Formats: sequence, structure tokens, C-alpha cells
Amino acid sequence: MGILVLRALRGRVPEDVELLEDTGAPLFVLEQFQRFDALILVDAVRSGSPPGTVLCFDGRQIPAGLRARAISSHGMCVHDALGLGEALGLLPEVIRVVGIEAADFTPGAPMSVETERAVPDAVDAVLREIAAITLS
Amino acid sequence: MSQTRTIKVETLARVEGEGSLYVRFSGSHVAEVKLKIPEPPRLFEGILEGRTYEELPDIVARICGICPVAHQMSAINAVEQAFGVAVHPSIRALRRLFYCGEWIESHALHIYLLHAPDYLGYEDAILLARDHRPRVEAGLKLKKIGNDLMALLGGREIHPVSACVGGFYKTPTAAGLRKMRGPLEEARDLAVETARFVAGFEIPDFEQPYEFVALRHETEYAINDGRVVSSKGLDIAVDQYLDHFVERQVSHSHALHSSIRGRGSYLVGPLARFHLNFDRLPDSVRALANELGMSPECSNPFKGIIIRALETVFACEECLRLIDQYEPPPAPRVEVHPRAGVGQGCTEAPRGLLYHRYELDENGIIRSARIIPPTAQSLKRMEEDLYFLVGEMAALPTPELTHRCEQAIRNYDPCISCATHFLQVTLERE
Repeated sequence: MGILVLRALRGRVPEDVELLEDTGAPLFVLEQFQRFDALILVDAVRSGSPPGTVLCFDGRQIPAGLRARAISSHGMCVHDALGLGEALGLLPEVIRVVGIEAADFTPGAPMSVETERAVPDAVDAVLREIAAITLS
Repeated sequence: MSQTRTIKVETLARVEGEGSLYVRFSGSHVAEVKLKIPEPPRLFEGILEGRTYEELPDIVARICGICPVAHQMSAINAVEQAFGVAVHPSIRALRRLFYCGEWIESHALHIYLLHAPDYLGYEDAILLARDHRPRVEAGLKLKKIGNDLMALLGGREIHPVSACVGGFYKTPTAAGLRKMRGPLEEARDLAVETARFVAGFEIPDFEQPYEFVALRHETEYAINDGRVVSSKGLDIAVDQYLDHFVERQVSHSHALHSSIRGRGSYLVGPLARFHLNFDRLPDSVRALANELGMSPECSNPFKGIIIRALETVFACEECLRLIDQYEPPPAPRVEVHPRAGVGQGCTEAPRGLLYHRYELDENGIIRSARIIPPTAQSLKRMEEDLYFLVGEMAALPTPELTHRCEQAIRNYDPCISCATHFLQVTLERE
């Protein structure tokens, strides 16, 4: 769903904001830490909330227990990237997560109706997050 | 009285794909070792049937996010052989340069994020980075320079789009390539530091009587072309591959097991290349190898990490040489005229020999495809390594032995698939 949100944001963000789709490169997220002062990650989340719930939180607050330590050369999940970024002192000043609670994480499962309906809300949430960024 | 002990490691990180290792002991004797690959086949060969040769490089690039260039090059070589295409020497050089970029990024990633934690007693690269931050930073920088080179030549680093049958859709200018010189000089220095760093690791004492198999070129450390040779005298053209190598289905694996007809398992990858092609390495790399106590006779798979580092030094130096000698080709690609036929291509992926074979019709439509990746070629040998390893180290406490098994699997940098990321290890002692 992150891609849908991102595409809906095109043309709606300030000029100094860059919209990036994850290329699938294993270190993609980690490399973005070094490029920006503030980063908003947009993705499906699983928190136990009802499907379609939009959640906004500080990336640094992702519990350490969630950091899966399953780094492989083919992919590094957000938790791994945050863990490695933290260990290497690479995390940007602001790192926020905007997530939509997904209904089904089974590989190949289609996006649920609830999640898809929440995309406009997630877009608004990202715009609010951008407006709220203050850098020291 | 028999004693049963079962150890399970639910999650083994730092390997590719879904698999599990099952080891059963009978007393101190190793009764059975199975490297199980339950992951379903990905059916790429079937996907390719009916597609055109022009689509082939883009489709095979999707097989792997780490070694897309290897798949593209083996596929392109095969089609060019089938169509009788001869490319300009500058295109050949660019392809070698492109491939070196992939070696640099793949080796750097494996050394620092996947394998080094094993030798230094860390659970993962995150914990390693906390204590060895400058080293991991250096590894990531090295990897990025390899990726940048891939992006420059391939249009992008993941699933690159520029390579095609006959050449590239776009080739760089000499000035454009020279911009990579500075970063590659830095990469070479980082790679030398890496080699010295990993050569200081405590290496388990474990030698195996491998039959090494790799490409061998008349003058170069083979990457994109050459003959298929082995340490037991095999010396064949790429199109004789299927006459000498056979794949067999085993009940516990969805990946086939390869062997040399009439002989058995064999080893591909860095150890094999180093053994067979040591004399083709530049003097500087051979001198570094000597300084680090590495001889081409090395048959300890736990030293593979050192050889990967030496190959990274080589790849950086080769890039610098190729950039300095580069003259843009008269055209990015030669004209291609499809014709019915069979083509086969073998190249040296970071993990070892990668074989592709295609039957094409007169319109360039793929009628059949066959892809034999290095991990499939190594699976049987990987099982044998584990069999002898647990036999030799059976006296170790179970957690330590389990860790050694995992480390031994990671010696191969296995790419079981690109989809999932865990391997369950079970040691059962009766």
C-alpha cells in the first residue's frame, strides 16, 4: 500500500520533499538514512488494530524485539535497517512511520478493501507529518 | 543405552531462501545429513518459454536481486552463441566491468553483513556494527561503489535494464567512466583492508578433497567467458556442459543436486576460481594472497571469506584497468539477426558457475530454457561438507556444533531463493 500512497502524493508535496519508491535493493532504506534530515516511511503495518487503521509514530519507537535480525543479502526489513542505522549512527534527525493496518499478510494476498479505502487518509497523514517536521 | 538429543534453530538468518538442515546422530556416528529445500520451484524456465530473446535479459534479471548481471550475462552469451553474434571488444570489456561491479557489491555484502558475524561471535551484523562500526561502514561503502558501477552501466543497480543481446542499449562515454576511477581506487583500498581484516579471523581447521570447477580463460581471471575446467582434469567447452554434468532430483529438496557424471559432487565459487585461476590474478593480488598466507591449494571452505575479499581486490583493480583502457564502441550494440538454434552460456556469478541454455526458433522466440545456478550445483557438496563437519566436530557442545553448521552453510553464500529468509537446523542425537 505504500506505493499507492506515494503515487497519490505526487504533485502534492513541497518542492524540497522527495518521494521515493523502495527499489528492492537490500540496503535501500539504510542508504536513504544518509541522504535526508527527515524521513517518513510509508508501509503496511500489523499492530492488532482493525484493518484500515492509519497509524503514525516515531520510527525510533519500534520495539527492539521487533527487530528481526534476519538480515539477508536479498532483503533487509525496516526493523533491520533501523537497527543497523542506529548502530552506525546513520539515523536522520526525524524518522516517522505512517502505516495502514493490513488485513492479510499472506504472500500473494490482495490488498483488503479496508486497507485500500484508507489510502486517502494515509495520504493526508503523510501531508500532516511533512508539515509538522521541524529540524534543529 | 542410546541417548537422543535434538537441537532446533528456528531461524537461521543470513542465508537466502527457505530451507532446513537435518542432522541425525547414532551415538557419535553421523547417520544422516539432509539439507532440505522445501521452497517451491520458481518456474523461471517455464515463464521464459514463448518469450522473445529481447525480453530475456529483463526477465532473468528478476531471478536475483544480488546477481542480476550474472543471469543477464549467461543468458545473453547463450543467445549470442545461438545467433552467431560477435560483439565489439569494447562491449566485451564493458560487460566485464559491469560484472566486476556485481562481484564487488555481492562479496562486500556477504563478507560484512552475512558472514563476518560468525567469525567474530556476533548474532548478526547489527551487533557487529555496534562494536566494529568503522569496519561495517567500510563494507557498506565498498558495496555502494559496486552498486554505483552497476547503475552506471546497467541503468540501475537492481534488475538493470541496459544490457541486451548484441551489447547495451546505452554505453558510457570515456569521461563518464573515468568518474568512477576515484571511487574505485577507494574501493580497492577498502578491499585490501577487508582482506587483511578477515585474514585475521579464527578459522576452523577443516579441509575437504574437493573437485573444483570454474571457468578458465586463456589470459584473464575468468568471469564472462572461458572453458569449463576442473581440478581433476575436466576441460570442456561450455556447450559440452550437459555431457559432463548431471542434475538429479532428491526427495528432500525442490532444488536439484548436480554432480559430475561418473564422479560425484563438485565445488564452484570463490575457492574453485582461486584454485584453478590463481595464476591469472594480477601480481598485486597474488602478492597480497601470499602475504595473508593464502595458497591456491586452499581447500578449507571457512577460508572462503578471505578469498572473497581477495576477489574483491581483484575486481576493483580490474575495473580500474578496464576504465583506463576503455574506448567507446562504434555503436552501443551490433545488429542481431535471430535464427533457429541452441545456445549455451556459462559465466562466473559471485557464488560460482552459472549455466543457461536456450532453444530458440527462427523468430527468436524461446522454445525451451534451462538454468543451473551455482547454489544448485553446490547443494550436494554442501551436504557432504556438513556430513564431514559434524563427524569431525561431533564432540562439540550442541549449540556450538549447530553454529558451526550454520557457518558452514554460509561459507557457500547460498542463494536458495530470493523469496524467503530462514533455515531451520535440527541436530538429532540418538
